[in-house]
Amino acid sequence: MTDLAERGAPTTGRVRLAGLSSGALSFLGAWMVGAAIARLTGAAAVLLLLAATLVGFSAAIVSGRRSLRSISVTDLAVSPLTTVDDETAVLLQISGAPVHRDGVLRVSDGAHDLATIPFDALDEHGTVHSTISFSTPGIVDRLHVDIAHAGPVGIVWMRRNDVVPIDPVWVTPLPLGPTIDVETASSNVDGAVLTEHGPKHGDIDGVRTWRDGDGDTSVHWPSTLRAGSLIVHDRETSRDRQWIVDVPAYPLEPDAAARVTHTLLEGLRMGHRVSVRRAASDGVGQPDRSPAVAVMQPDDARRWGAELIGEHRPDTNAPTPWYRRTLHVNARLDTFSRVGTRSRWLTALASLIALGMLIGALDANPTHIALGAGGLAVGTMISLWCARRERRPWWLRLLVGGATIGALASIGSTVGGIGGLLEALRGPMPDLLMLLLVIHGFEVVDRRTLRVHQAIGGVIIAYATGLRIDDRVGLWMAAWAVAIVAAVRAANRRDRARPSHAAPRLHRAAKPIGAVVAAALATLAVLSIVPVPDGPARLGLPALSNDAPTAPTAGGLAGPSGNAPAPSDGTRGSLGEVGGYPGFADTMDTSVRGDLGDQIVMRVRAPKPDFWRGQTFTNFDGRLWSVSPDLGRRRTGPQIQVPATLGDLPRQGIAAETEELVQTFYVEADLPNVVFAAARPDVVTFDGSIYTRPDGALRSDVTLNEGSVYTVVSKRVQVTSASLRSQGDVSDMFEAITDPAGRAVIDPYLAIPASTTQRTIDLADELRRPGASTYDTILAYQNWLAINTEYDLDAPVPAEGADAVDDYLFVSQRGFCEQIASSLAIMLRSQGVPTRIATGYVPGVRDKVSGVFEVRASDAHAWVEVWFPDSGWQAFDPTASVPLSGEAAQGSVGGELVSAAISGIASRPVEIGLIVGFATMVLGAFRAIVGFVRRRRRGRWGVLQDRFTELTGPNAITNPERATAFDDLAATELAELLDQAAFDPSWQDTNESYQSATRALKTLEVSG
Amino acid sequence: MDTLPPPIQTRPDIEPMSVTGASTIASRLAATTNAVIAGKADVVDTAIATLLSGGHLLIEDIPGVGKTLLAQVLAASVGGSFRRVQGTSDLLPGDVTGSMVPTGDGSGTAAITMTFRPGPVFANVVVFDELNRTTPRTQSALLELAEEGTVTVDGTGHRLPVPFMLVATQNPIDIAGTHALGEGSLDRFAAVVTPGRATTASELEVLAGRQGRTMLDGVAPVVSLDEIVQLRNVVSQVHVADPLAAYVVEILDATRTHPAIRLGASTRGGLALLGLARARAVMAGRSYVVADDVAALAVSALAHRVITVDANHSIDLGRSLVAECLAGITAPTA
Repeated sequence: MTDLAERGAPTTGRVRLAGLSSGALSFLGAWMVGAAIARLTGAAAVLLLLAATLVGFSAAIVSGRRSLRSISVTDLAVSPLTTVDDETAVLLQISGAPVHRDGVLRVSDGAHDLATIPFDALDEHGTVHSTISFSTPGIVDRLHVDIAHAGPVGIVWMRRNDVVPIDPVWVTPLPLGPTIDVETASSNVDGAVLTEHGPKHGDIDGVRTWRDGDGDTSVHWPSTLRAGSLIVHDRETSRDRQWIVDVPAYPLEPDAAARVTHTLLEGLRMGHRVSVRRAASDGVGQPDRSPAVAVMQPDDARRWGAELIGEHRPDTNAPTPWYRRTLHVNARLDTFSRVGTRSRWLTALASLIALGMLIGALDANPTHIALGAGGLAVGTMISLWCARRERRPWWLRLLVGGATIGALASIGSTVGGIGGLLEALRGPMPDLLMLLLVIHGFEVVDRRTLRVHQAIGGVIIAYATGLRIDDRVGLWMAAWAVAIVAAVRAANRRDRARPSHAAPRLHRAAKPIGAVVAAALATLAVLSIVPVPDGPARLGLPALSNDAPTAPTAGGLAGPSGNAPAPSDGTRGSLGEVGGYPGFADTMDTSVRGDLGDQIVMRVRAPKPDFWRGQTFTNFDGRLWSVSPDLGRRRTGPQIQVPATLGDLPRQGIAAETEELVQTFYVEADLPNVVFAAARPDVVTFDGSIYTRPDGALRSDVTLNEGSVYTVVSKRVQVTSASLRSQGDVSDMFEAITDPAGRAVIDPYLAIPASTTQRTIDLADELRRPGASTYDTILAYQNWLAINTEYDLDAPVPAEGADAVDDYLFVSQRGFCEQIASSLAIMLRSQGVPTRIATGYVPGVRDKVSGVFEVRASDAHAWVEVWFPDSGWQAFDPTASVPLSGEAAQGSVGGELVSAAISGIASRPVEIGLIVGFATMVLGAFRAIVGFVRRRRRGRWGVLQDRFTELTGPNAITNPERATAFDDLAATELAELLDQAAFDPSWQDTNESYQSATRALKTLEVSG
Repeated sequence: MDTLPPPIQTRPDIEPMSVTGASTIASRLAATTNAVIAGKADVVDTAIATLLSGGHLLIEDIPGVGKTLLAQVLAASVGGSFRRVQGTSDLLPGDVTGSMVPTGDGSGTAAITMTFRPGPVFANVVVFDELNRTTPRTQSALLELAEEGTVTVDGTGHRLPVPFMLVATQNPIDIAGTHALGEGSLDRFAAVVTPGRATTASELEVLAGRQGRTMLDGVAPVVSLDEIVQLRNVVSQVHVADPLAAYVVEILDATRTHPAIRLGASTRGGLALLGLARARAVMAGRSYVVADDVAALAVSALAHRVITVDANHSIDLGRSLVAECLAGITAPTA
């Protein structure tokens, strides 16, 4: 057998996509469902999930490609002579094949599959002995080896077709004899020299006289005596017979060529002189023939066969048309589809995390979680039991079927009229999904069902991610990601020892860490081009209300408990309720601000921050702001078109650039019946009725208690500082209005209470530079306030009867937002600029993973609204940093995550340090325990020996042999010490020798 | 009569040698041999281990690779007597062992007595060239005496000198006119080595006269016969840990269950392997055997003892099969 290198290197084919693993299609399905969920809910976290899984898919492809490229055929040898349909031995050696993972080698002659060998069959050297049989006769000097491999992830199959040259194999047809007519010639007809060559072919034909060269054994003595001269046997040996095989000049069909070869070989076997005579030209029946070429050895005969076959070799590279390719690599190959214990339990863990996340999103109940966990665990155990026995008992099918039908019936009976999409999404849908997950858990017996199960878990995770609005979404997702990656990887691994590498641990650990880092970076890169979603899509504007107390008077205000809130009476202190901010009453005392606490009152899913506006106050008496008494019209939900109010310019036909801002409010604490919305709400989706007040505020007929959800689509006028400044001094425009109707509208916003002091007005006059735009004036006032007054929640209450603004500006110079806003409003009014006070919440902190603003009770706020004729009411606030609507930058999901990560690390260095430290400690403790157990079992020298063995791999048998791999004196010393420990009867376990051995081992581990 | 030295297996008057001393002597022996034999350090090591373990050596290789030279150097550096026998098909057992010959004083008056004339085997190192050219009868006679250490002629036992080492060579290519050694005969050799062709560099050394036969004349004995006996004593006291004995048993077992081997290695093979391993330990200056000693010598000690399914008695095949068995066994460690 010649070396592979001598025959020429195998031609490596292109790596092609071969298909998906069975069940992997469900991953794609789950991804698409996830995309739909992202579209429906507009949750940024779902996008994160989608991007991460996309990266995972890409990684599966890339790693599969890489893995496949590292596999190569190093040897392929087939017995040189065989007959058609006869099994013949083949040796195939593959290097770099991961034998503990899925993979298939298919040997073919280009047209027919000859052998299918799973990686499983390879031994630790990558060698497999198998048998193949050829179906067509001829000479085979190359075989195709089709390598299909799913890579370490095992979802996407890649394949490559290598053409491997082999020593020619002579495949003879079955009933083959020397069917070619040979011209036989005996060489001794003319009395050739008789030699001893070859066996005797025929009987003694006769005698003849001696000639030079005849052997002495051929002398026929009786005849010699009789004749008096040497007479010899005239006998023919096989060697004396010549076979001349005539072949035409044109190339032969493979089996005809094989027949020629066989004839030649047969002649040689019988000891004849064999030669081939080829026609000189292609003329059939041409008498002129070239001289016969002697065939001396079997190899010559085979060469003739190869030469004669010419270009008549069948075209073996005809590709399979695409429509005939199977999606799955080979159904027959699914021999290792039985699900492994490890992957099954990891999948159950991932499912449990998904279940926990979903249940947590829907009013977590420990019983539910326990039930789900129990169901998953039982399902896992039963399905593993089934998988081990490779059958599913009838009672299990009955049980699963019955449970499914029963559960569906019970869900169907509980579902009444579906009020809103959210109700459906919160009610039957998750129940159905959870049920599907738990019940499907019983059915998971092979890899296909396992992958389907993982996909269902993925759908649930996406679903829960879309629903959840709390700040632990990221943690849940991370936990699930770890579990699912481990489960997917484990599913693709068989219970077979993986070939150990010579790489030291550090290097081996670096690979997965690098992969995780690369995947994270890739995910961020994908997300950096994905914009923050525009809030919930119109399709799924959710609204939900619980059984909330209705407001006592229609259109009137109701506190969180349903009673009308008491008007502010000037007293301080806790208002007792989270939502009891005085700004949510009919009157607001500027000197009162309760201790509101830090509780989250609502979560707002919105792409951009804005003031969540609740009430509007116009009238000020020097201390109290009060709302206008006009309650507006009651409108019934769920879809409520909010009519245009004063200052709602675009709705009044004035051209202004607007932008839709969709916000979903998830109420987390009992709040009054004030309906919060970003400025200029257009459509409110609300499960109930809403009074749309002419001052732009919205009130519901029920209080908004915990669990209520509503969605607002606002039309924000795009405002920038430049556009505000360009409107100049707005007071001029309002002064120009002289008709009584117009004044009746404007005057309330310009009214200054009688108690307003002259020094207040003087200050306003003084700070306003002549000719300056209103915008600049506002900035000047804000600037003065920032310099001369102080924000203080414990500011003293102004004296009875004193003007609150005067008191704040000149007496105490300490105050909070109500006083700041009041001062700004009154100062602007004194300059002829219409203003009003709005109360509500500042946007709160945006959770960067879920993309939800967390609004706390302490975020309750009051601010000034200034009427700009060209853009309507514009909020101003010196304390809250809310960007102008036209200036809020549209971020990307990835950018937000990066900034969240940076600020998260920067803001909590101690906690992160503690967590890292704790994790290190836990890891250290775990390793210490493992090390302790190993030491107990193996002794400390045994542990050293194991590490040394692991470092060097399985090829070396003994320690000195292992040491030779290093070319390092430390290795030799270590090998000696270890052998001493093992075999020297006089050996003493001393710390010095142990330490020197450990040192040596560490040197080797580091150097690799 | 014959004046053969008495048996000196154990001589209380000789100071027991230390392992360190033994290894010094052994390394001297190795250095001397390596100075002559070009580039065959491992073969030389096996040969010396065979000498120290009291076994006999079979060198199997093609002509002209220094088989005989190796045997001669060994003999010369030991400082004992050296004899060489050329195996031919008409060599009779008596030609090897020696025979009774009639002797008288030459006067013709005294009674003629039959006295034993020792054959060429009566030497410390006997090189038997082309062992497979002799008849099986001679082969078995030779190997029996090598094993027993005594020659029995006419019912009288004659002790062979101590130490006694038989170094036989055979040519695997020569088929015509050879008699393949039987299984039993082969089993009596402690080790088989195949020197193989020298590397280019070594060959150059030989052709330039810096190594090879030209150096043989310069070899002076570096170890006395007494020292060899002492060395053998040291070797026999080398400790073999139980796991190592089990390892040897495992190797023997593997040769017995290997599908391509018809008959596995004998217990004698195991003993020989352990003896060689002990000797190698002493050469390395150790008073205990390590797994590497066993693994390094297993092929040499067992290759000729397995009978392969593919007949034709190729020791090469046995070599690869034993190596295969060895690779499949996990060596004992700490």
